[in-house]
Amino acid sequence: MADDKLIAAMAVACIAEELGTVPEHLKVVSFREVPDSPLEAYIKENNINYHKYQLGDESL
Amino acid sequence: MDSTWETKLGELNERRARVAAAGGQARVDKQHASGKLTARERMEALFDDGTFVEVDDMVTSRATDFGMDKKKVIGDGVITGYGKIHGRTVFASSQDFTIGGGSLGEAQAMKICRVMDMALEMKAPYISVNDSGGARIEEGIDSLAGYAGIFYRNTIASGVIPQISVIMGPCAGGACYSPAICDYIFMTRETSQMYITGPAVVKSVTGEVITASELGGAGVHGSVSGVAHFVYDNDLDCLNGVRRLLGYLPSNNEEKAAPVTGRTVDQCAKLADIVPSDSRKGYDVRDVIAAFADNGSFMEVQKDFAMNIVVGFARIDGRTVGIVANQSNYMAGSLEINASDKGARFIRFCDCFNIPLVTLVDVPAFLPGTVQEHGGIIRHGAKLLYAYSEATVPRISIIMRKAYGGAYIAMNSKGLGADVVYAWPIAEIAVMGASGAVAIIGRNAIKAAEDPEAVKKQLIDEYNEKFMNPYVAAEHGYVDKVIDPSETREEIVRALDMLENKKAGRPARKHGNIPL
Repeated sequence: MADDKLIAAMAVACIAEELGTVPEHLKVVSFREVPDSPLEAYIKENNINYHKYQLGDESL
Repeated sequence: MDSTWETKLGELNERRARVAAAGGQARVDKQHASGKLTARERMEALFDDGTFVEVDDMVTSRATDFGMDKKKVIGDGVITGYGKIHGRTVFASSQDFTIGGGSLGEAQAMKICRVMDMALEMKAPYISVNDSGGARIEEGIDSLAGYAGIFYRNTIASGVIPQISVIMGPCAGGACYSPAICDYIFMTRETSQMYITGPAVVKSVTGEVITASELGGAGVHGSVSGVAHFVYDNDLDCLNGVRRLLGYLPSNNEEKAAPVTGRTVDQCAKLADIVPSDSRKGYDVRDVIAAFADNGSFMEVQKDFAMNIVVGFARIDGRTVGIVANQSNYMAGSLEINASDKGARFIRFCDCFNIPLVTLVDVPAFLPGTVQEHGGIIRHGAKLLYAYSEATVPRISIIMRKAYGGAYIAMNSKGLGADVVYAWPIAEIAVMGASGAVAIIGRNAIKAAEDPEAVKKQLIDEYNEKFMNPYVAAEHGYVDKVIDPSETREEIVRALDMLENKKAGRPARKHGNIPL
């Protein structure tokens, strides 16, 4: 549970930074766990090594 | 929230759940067991994360004959919608094999046609993922009319928006003609097939026994028929390939491809080591491309078909270019029927979508022989000349080594309207090679000589000195500049800069009449 609180605090801090404000000015209404999409679940179940191609990947 | 709201939202959620369930878990499991993703998973892999928006998700067949009223499934076996790929809007349809084998009836065709209309109206690329048993027989003529509507739209959208077909299961009969009209066909190696008539019909008509894979698998279409432009091992790699290809293309014929800056290292200093000065020795022209293009940026098209010509997209200083190159390592880079078709089709695509062409020339001839002549090399070879001549995009040629006869003319020569022609110092630009030329023009002198071999050698030396160099062509204005190979990239960059705003006119006409 302590880890969850830390993760939530870090998430709020990241959002505040993105918005150019301070965490104290943000009000968290609720947190909801987002389940894996069907594709994410399929990739996990089958241990597939997958990276979605992003523009310019070939030059890396 | 009152009870009416609860009831109505409950009904909506129940319908949404039916849409998401596709053909049911058992069929989804079967799809996975055969190595394939579901239609919805494919859309997730194709589009940028979280951007796909499904449209017409509750459309259902109106058919009632042959018990169809009891087989209705919400969505009718295809998912359609739009989303972003590399941040740009793209439209797509994805046939759902878990619902009635993805068969196409009136409602499915209507959904596909609607999303194609949206793509054309919004001037955005259209991707069709095919995984279908074909026409829904129970719907009769309505399913055929559905295909006709798709083919018509493919044709009207051709040259206006990029159209890509991705074959990830069966694609049989008339259904093949939509991919065939599209610009590019992707196939998965073990799980896709394309054929007009399947193995059972082939056996009943010709007696030939053949498997579906042997008849129309990705291996055949990637290397023998030339129908498939890209072949990948599985769905995820294949859809990544589509994402990569779209990165080279503009959204439509009125735009230019967006530049993509990556790491660039000019490796042209090693070109003189890659290309042997002895024109009888081969090399891999892809090493030449890698030396001057942006790092890792070359994406080859039809790499296992007509390998004597190499075509594909690359970036130079971040700009997309189309590359057409003779492959010295295969049939000495000579041009024949399939290479002419492959080159012409690629050149015309680039011209449609404002992609400059860079042509690498090292070509001995059009391939001689009865197979070629009787196969119509005159008609097919003409396509290459025609495609170059009609292209109004910037056109740059680099004559690396051999450039002989009609094949020299066909490979984006100055006379066909090339904007800039460079030649390396080892270039040999002539009607034909020295021994062939001397055998004709020196025939009488050799025959009359006391020492025919000595005279022949003397004539060959004379021919080589006079013609087998780039300077006669440069003096006559057919070559703009003779360059050190190490200068190749910087010269191409300068030429592309100069040609950035090129606007070439053509006389008004309905359309030309390319020899097909």
